[in-house]
Amino acid sequence: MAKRERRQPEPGEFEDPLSNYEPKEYEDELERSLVEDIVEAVPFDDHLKARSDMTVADAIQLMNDNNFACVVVMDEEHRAVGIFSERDVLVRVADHYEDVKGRRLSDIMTADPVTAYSSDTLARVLNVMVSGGFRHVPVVDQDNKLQGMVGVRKVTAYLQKHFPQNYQI
Amino acid sequence: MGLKDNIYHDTVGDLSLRKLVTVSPDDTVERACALMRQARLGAAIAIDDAGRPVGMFNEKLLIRLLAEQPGAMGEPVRNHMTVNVVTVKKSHSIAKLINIMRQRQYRWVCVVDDKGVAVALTGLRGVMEYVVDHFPRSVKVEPIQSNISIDQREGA
Repeated sequence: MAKRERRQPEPGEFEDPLSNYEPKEYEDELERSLVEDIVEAVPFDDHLKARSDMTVADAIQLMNDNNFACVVVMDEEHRAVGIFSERDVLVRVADHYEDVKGRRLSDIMTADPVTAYSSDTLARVLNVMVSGGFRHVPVVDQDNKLQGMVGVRKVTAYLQKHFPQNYQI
Repeated sequence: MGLKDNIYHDTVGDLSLRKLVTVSPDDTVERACALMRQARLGAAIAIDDAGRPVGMFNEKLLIRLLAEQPGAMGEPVRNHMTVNVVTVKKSHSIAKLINIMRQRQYRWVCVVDDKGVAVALTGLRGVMEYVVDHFPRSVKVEPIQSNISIDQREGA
């Protein structure tokens, strides 16, 4: 691309600091959307909420009844203080279910989950998911109050939206 | 080529595939879970004597088992696995894989060779890793867990 000639301002004339700005170019709309659109472009997943004193057995029952892969553990201020996921069940519960089924979620959950802001870009949220190995990321506002949840399934649905409608397997 | 074109042209073989966790349908659920835990993988593939996939046990089925039959961890996997194992080949496009997972609501897909023998596992996370690998450098280096609220961020 030919570089634009920059006109030198006259003495005392206002100089626009962005006069040389050239917007980033992307190969396609999908790349642009991932890098520039914020996480709200992906509809939030429905999510289950629980208090930290819920028992492990009740949380598993809740996940099974609602067909959800995780429960967000909330404090009284509506902040996400932990996540109890299928992976936690596999790693920390399955082997000795009888011993842990009556324990509180706070003993077993993954505490202080990595979160995203609703103003973060999709790229950042994907980065968080891949780097941390998370399938779900809670989305919070500036006061760390839970706004919603972004999961891998919704992200895949978002990617698929960019394919032609007539693309068939 | 842009990311979208790459998704059409690159194949399942270009993804970072997971090494399979395989069990016999006669193995116990307990053993399947132990192998999944050891491999840090959310699914195990039950295979027949020829190595072809005949079932899958995953974390979702584990949740169901603990909620409905918590005493059944010692039972054979065949009693609790799903027998609808969706497969792809390494030569299939990533777009096709995404469509399969979306249309059938599957998180895991078994990769098979031309003889139908299970060779690897892929899924939603593999696709996400692929997408992240294609991000422009400026995005990829953004630190994770930089949870600084807008009013605390530096700059204008």
